[in-house]
Amino acid sequence: MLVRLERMPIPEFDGVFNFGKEMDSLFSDFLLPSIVGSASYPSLNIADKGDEILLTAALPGVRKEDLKIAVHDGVLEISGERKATELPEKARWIRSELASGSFSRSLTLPRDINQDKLAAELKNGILTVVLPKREQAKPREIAIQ
Amino acid sequence: MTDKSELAAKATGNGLPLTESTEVDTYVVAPLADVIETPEAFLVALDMPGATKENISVTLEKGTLRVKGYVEPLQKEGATAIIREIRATGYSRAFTIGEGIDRNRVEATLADGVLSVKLFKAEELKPRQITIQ
Repeated sequence: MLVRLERMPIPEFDGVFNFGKEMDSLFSDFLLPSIVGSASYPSLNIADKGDEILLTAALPGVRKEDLKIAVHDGVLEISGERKATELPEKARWIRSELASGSFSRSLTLPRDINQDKLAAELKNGILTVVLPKREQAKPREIAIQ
Repeated sequence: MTDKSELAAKATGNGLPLTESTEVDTYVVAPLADVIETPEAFLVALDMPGATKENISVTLEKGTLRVKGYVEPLQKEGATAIIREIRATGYSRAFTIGEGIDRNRVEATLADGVLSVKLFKAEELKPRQITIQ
């Protein structure tokens, strides 16, 4: 399940905009429909390293204390909240593309994962979860007699 | 060793990238950004997960603020990708900034994968209280 609050994302990827002289004209962009609301959040990469599965999630702007990783009945859940930016006094928004709000994404773990030995790290907006495989699931070289 | 020159000739002949590496896919994205104007400054925040302080450059040149970043590959050597939703290998975005920025006062900080750039306004752009005579 995903609960995500959107704050006026803008479908513009030319990477250049004006602020300063032309600031006010930018507000017309905000009426365009959301382009990022439908995807699962956070985005994940999962890779099999043989003896372990490596999961990485992009979570920019999420602090460690606002992130929760839980395993329940073989399901790994990554949930948390990205706090909204508070507008300082006498300030105004010129562009607001970064989403904020709460999120949750669940993944069913393969049976051969040792759920008691998960390790997680959050660094530079990237969450890394190491999911070690059980001994019997690790690839083994069989010696030829 | 394979004959590299021969391989290169073949590659260019087919219009393919001149490389033997499997990591040819660079995927540079424009990071999403917030821009806030305060009486003193413009605050720009950009989502750049995976980029470290050492791998980000912020330059101000001829009225253009350019932000670039490089992401260390998330997939380790010898790993088989199962799901690959995070594809950015780099970030690049430019902002055209108007007059009135104090070019000597630009600050940048990186926290939790978010780059914050603070561009202070030049004196003439700051709001001023006019005393009634």
